[in-house]
Amino acid sequence: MNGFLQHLLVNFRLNFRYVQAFVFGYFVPVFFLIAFKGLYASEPPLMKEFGQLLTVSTLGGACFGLPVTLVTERERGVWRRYRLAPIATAWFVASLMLARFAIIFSSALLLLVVAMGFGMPLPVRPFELLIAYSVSAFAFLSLGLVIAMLASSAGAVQGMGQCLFLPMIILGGVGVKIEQLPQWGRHVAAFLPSHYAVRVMSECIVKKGAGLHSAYSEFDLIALTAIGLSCCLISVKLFRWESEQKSTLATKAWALLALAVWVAVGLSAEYWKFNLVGK
Amino acid sequence: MLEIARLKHNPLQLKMKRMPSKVVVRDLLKNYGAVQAVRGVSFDVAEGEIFGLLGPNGAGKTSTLECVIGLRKPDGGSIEVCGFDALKQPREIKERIGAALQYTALQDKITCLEALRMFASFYRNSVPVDKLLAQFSLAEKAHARYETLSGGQKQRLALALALVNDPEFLLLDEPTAGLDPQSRRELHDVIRHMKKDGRTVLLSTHYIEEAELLCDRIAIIDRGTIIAQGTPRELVARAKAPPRIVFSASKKTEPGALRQLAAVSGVEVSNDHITLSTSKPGDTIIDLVKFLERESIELLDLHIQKPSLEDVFIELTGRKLRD
Repeated sequence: MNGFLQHLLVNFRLNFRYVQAFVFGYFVPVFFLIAFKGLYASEPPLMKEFGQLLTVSTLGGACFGLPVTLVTERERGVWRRYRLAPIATAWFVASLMLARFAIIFSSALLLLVVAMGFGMPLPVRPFELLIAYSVSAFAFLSLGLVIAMLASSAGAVQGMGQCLFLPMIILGGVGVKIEQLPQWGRHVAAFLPSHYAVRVMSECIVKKGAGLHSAYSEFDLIALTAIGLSCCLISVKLFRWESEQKSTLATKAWALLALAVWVAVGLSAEYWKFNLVGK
Repeated sequence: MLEIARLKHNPLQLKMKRMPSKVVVRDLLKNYGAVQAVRGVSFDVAEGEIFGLLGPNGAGKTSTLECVIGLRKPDGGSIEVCGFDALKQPREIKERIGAALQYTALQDKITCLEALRMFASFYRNSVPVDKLLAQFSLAEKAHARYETLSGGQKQRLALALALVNDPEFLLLDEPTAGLDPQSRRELHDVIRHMKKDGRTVLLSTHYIEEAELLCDRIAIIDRGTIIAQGTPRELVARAKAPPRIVFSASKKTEPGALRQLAAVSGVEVSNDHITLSTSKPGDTIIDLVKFLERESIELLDLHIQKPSLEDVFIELTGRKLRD
C-alpha cells in the first residue's frame, strides 16, 4: 500500500514539473471555457456548457496526458525498472490512473472557479456531479490506458488520441451541442462515451436537471462504467512493461473486445432510445 | 574445435570448497523467434561470491540475466534464486534481489531522493535512503533531478536503487558500460564493497579486466552457450597461449635474430615494441639481454605478459572478445 501511495505521489508531483502539463492541463481548458462563453452566450453564463467543458478537459488528460506519460516512461525504460519491484501490475496501473485523476480533477476545479468568476452559479447538485465526473473520468482514463498499451511511441499516442478525441469533440456533444447535430450525427453520438459524460454531468449542473435520478442518467452511468471497466481490464491484459514487447494477435483480439463493449453500449442506446437528448 | 566441444559439455569444475548456491541455473533456453539467444546455459552462483558472465555483445549475457530476474520468460530450463523457483515464485525472488539493468532510466524530473524513497516503498524491507545516498556519494545530489546527473552519478543511483531493499543477491548487467575510467574504478570499489557486506553478485561484462578484477568465478559465454567457467586463475591456466615478453629497444632489431633466442616460438614486431612468445620466459630474457648487449642496443622497457582471459576466449572461439 505504501508503494502504491508513493508511486501515486511521485506521478502527481512530476506532472507539475513539465511546462506542457500546465499548458494542456490548465491553459487549454480555460481557453475552451473563454471560447464557449463567447460562442454560446447563455444565461446564466456557462451553466449549460459546463458539462461540455468538464468533458473536454477530462478527455484531453485521458486521451493524451495519461498515455503520453506512460508511453514516454516505457520508452525510456522506467517501467522496465518498475517491473523488478514485487508489486502487482494492477497497483501500478491504479496509482497511475488515480494520479492522473487528481491532475484532471484539479483542472476541473480551476474551470469551476474561472466559470464562477464569469458569473456561473455553483452546480445545482455538486455531490452528484462529483459522482458523474468521477465515472466519466474513469471511462476516459481507461480509454487512455488502452491507447497507451496499443501505441508504441509518443507519436503514435498523438495519432491514436486524435482519432478518438476529435470525433468525440465534434460528434460526441462536446464541441457542438448534441441538439445542433444532424440526425445521423446523433446516432453516431450514441457510440461515443463523451455524449454520455456531457449529458449526465449537465443533468447535475443545470437547474432543471434530474441529477442522477433519471433513466437517462442511470443509463449514462452504466454505459460509462461498462466502457471504463472493459477498457481497464483489457489494458491490464495488454499491459506492456517495455516498448519491445510486441502486440500479438491475442492482444489485438482483446482490444477488439473493448471496441465490442463500446459498440454494445451504442446499440443498446439506439435500441432503448437513450441516444437522443429528446427529453 | 575439439577443445570447445569438450568444454561445452564439461565446464570446468571448481576445486575450492563452495558455499551453498544462491542461484542455480540449469539448461536455460531463450529464443527470440528463430534466434536462439541462450542455448542450454547452466551455472551456479555460491553465496557471497561475485560471479561474472563474460562475453561479447550479443553472446546471451543479458538474456540470461533477464531470465534470472524474471524480465524474460525462458523457453526451457530451470532457475532457482535464493531457494525459490524463478518461474513459480517471482514475487519472493523480487523481494530478495536487487538489480541494475543495462538500459534503464528514471523520469527526467524525478530527484534522487524521490526515486530512492519510491523504490524503497515497494519492498517489505528497506534500507534508510539517507544511508544509501551517503554510501553512493549522492548526498549532495539528493534533490538533483535525474536529467542533471552525470553518467557515473546515474549509474551510482542505479546501484543505490538495487540496494534499496537490502538484497541478499545482486544482479548487475554491464554495470560500467559507457562510463569513463574514473567512474568505472569508483563502481568497482562499490561492487567490491557489496561483496564485503556478504552479498552475492552476478554480473555481466564484456570488459576482461573488469571480470578479472572483480569476479571470484567467471563463465565465458558465446553465442548463447557457456564455453568455459571457473576462477580467473583456473581459466587462464588452461590457456595454451605461451607467456609473452614485450620489450622496446633503442634500435630496430631483426626478427630473424630474435627467433634464434632460447625458447622463442614467435616474434611480433610493432611500431614501438616487439613481442616474443616463449615457453621459458626466464631463459629467453637472459638470452635477449645478452643479444642486445652484443649488438650494442639499449633495452628501454621490458615486461612479461601472461596469457589472459582474452587468450582463452580467442582459443575457444577463434575470435577476439570485442570483435
